[in-house]
Amino acid sequence: MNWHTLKARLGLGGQGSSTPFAMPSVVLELEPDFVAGASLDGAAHQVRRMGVRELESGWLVPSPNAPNLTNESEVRRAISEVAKVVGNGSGRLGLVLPDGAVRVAVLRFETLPDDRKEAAALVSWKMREILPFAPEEARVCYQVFGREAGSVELLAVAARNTVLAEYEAALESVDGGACLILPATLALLPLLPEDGETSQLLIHIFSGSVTTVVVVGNRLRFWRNRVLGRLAPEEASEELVREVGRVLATCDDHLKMELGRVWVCVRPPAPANLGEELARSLGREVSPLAGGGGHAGMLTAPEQELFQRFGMPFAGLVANLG
Amino acid sequence: MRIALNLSITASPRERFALAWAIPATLVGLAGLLFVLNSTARVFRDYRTVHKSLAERLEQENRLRSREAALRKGLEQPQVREVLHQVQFVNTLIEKKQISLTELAAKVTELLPAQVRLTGLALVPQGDNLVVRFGVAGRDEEAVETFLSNLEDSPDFKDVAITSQGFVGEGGGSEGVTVACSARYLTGAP
Repeated sequence: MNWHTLKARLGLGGQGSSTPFAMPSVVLELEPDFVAGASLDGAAHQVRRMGVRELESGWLVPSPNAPNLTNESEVRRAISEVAKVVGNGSGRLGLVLPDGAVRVAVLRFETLPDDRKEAAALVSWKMREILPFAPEEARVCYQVFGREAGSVELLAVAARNTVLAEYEAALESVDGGACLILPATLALLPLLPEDGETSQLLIHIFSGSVTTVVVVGNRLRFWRNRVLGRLAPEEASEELVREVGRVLATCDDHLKMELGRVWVCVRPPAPANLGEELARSLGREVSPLAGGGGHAGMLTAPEQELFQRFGMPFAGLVANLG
Repeated sequence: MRIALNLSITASPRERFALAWAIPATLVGLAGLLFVLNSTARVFRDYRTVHKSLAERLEQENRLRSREAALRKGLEQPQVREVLHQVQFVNTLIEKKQISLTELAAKVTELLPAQVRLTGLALVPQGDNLVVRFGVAGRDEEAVETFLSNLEDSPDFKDVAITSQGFVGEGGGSEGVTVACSARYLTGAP
């Protein structure tokens, strides 16, 4: 008998991850510029319904250690309007957060305790350097990538309890707590093609921030989120190019890896020349992340349009089922 | 790349379904409790009924015992005791065998010679025995002797005793003989 497998099935262990991924039937994404919602059909791997309500600037300000919902009543109203379109999930509601509300890190340990709570405490302690609050105030989840002799590599995500409670409270008008909470860019990762050991760079531009992620095979090697702010389009493009350039330099200098493919996901879509400008600046091909189109076949034409503008994370969640 | 993590605090199946199962489990428990209470009440009612019936039977038995004791006490009175003995005897006879007077008469007739006629026949209980009393009249003494001899030889009678004998005159000069005797009747005896 495999004791570790049995413990994991009974929820006694948890070396592979903390709280496991759970497929919701309805997902709401809260971003500074919009609230998007989708009804998901896990069995058919399809997005069934899609709704979006745009938010005014300043109603939602992502932060890992400060209140995010500065106009909670309006955000709640937007959530209710979207929920009317996509449903309430009947107890299986997912929540996609802005990347700026969480902290993500790739960590390495010599060993990881079998007990899930002890492991989470160790991960929290190790993340203390990048957390702008006390590790005791964090809710942490992690996913083990690889386990070799004397080395355990994992992806960890942490968010302050008060921040998560603020978002979860905003969902009370829908159907109470969420069964799945993830940052938006993490929800995009299942859309990246599995390309052996080739390193891939994903650039996610949305709601005035950019998140860059480097994935090698089935391992996340690098995560960086930066708020660009409300810049003019030209300034934003220049800042974006500089940010991506810094990521490439980091990959070169610290990670000692050469990037293979570069993907970009802009929500809502930016002018077509943004991708060309990035490609020209980086000196390599930049492809739009469009792997989610196959998951939108059940949507109406207006919903298809909304999906193309905002719905990639929802497609990623569906794709994550395999 | 597959995602396997989640910032949500997922409730365990026990926590998730505890409330959902609590109501049906409570209802099932209440139903079970009602069933047990109902069964207990029914069994208690049955017990009360049986107990009451048993008490009535015991009371009836006591009444009958008292009545039997009173009757026995009455039967012990001297004036009733003789009747009791007779009744017991008759009951004994009835239990053991039925006596047929017709059969008795037929047996006696077979013992009578042609010159002797039966003038009286009585069956009298004496203790546990039956005694038959005969009254016969014969043409002459020899004929009566023949009857008494037949009576003594008969397997149905024993202990023949002559209680009286007399002579009566008849027309034509000859004399008749009358005899009263008794004998124990064996056939009807125990």
